[in-house]
Amino acid sequence: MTLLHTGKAGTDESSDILIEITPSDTLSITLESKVESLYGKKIRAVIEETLKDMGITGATVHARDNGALDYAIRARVKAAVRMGRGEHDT
Amino acid sequence: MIQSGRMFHSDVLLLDLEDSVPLTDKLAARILVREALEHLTFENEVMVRINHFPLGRRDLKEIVCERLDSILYPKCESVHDIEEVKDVLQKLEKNYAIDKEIEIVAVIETAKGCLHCEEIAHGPRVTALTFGAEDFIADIGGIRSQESLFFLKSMVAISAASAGIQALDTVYPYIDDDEGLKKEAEESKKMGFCGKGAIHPRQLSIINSVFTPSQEEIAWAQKVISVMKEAEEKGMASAALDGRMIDTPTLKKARRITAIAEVIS
Repeated sequence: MTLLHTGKAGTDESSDILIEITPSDTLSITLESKVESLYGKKIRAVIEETLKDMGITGATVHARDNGALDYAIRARVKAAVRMGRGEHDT
Repeated sequence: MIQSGRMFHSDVLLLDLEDSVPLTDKLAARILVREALEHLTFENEVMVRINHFPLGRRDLKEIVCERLDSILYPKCESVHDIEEVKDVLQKLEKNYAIDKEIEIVAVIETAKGCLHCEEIAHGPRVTALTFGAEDFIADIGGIRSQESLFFLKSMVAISAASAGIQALDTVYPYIDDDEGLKKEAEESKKMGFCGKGAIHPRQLSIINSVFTPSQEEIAWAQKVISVMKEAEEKGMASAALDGRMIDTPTLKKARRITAIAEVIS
């Protein structure tokens, strides 16, 4: 299933990451993180791998990291994608 | 975040999908819980408070996995509520090839739930009862106090005992009031509760000190067991210990203390 609209998940709290994902033909990831130099490559890899697992080949991703572990990055990407596909509880 | 909760060595780590999560964030929260369950290592028992059905069905569909130990099910009002949850758990455990039965801890927090405590305690997979003080008080239109909660706490403790399951005391909401926390925990222990929820790590040492048998209690319990064993060998059902008559109920209490001490050790 493709993205229908923008999906957003996460917070700016410590140990979390805020992910905003918008439909696009190509994949681009913008990352803001205080640990960009140490972990930027890894964070981007986790985001890309999660998107690939979900069948997303094209999206504009904006990520604002505050020290999130891999499980949290994956969770927020998954949630943003699912919301972008129209899934919600309200 | 979730990973921090593992540092404090509580018996149970409770992850909440209910009241602390706004409706607009439920989906993200349940995905986060699922990822945590699958990828973090927990020494504690892991329990998730789901939403009351029907929303809770979506929670279970997302979070049921091998690492999940138990569900805290809020606003239980009848054994039918428990049976519904059990049916969903059973189906998901089969679909996901999970080789265990996820347990249910029922939360009593309404007047109706209070009056159906006994049947809820005997419900399938229910291993403990607890209660929600604030919701209960709101339901009955009262003011939170020892008096206004006494009947509910009694029903929870007695119903749990009748079913042979645990009664767990609710959280003490005043984080900086150590004395008040200790007092409430001690009162609950007298009523038959065997544990208490914490809403802040600083509460854990006080709660553990109240509910963990002391060395004196353990020594007393061991003495009771020994004296009663001698009495039994002589064909007697009671004995004297330290100027007091002891019999079957005392022995039962002593065995409970040593059993708890053994689990903790």
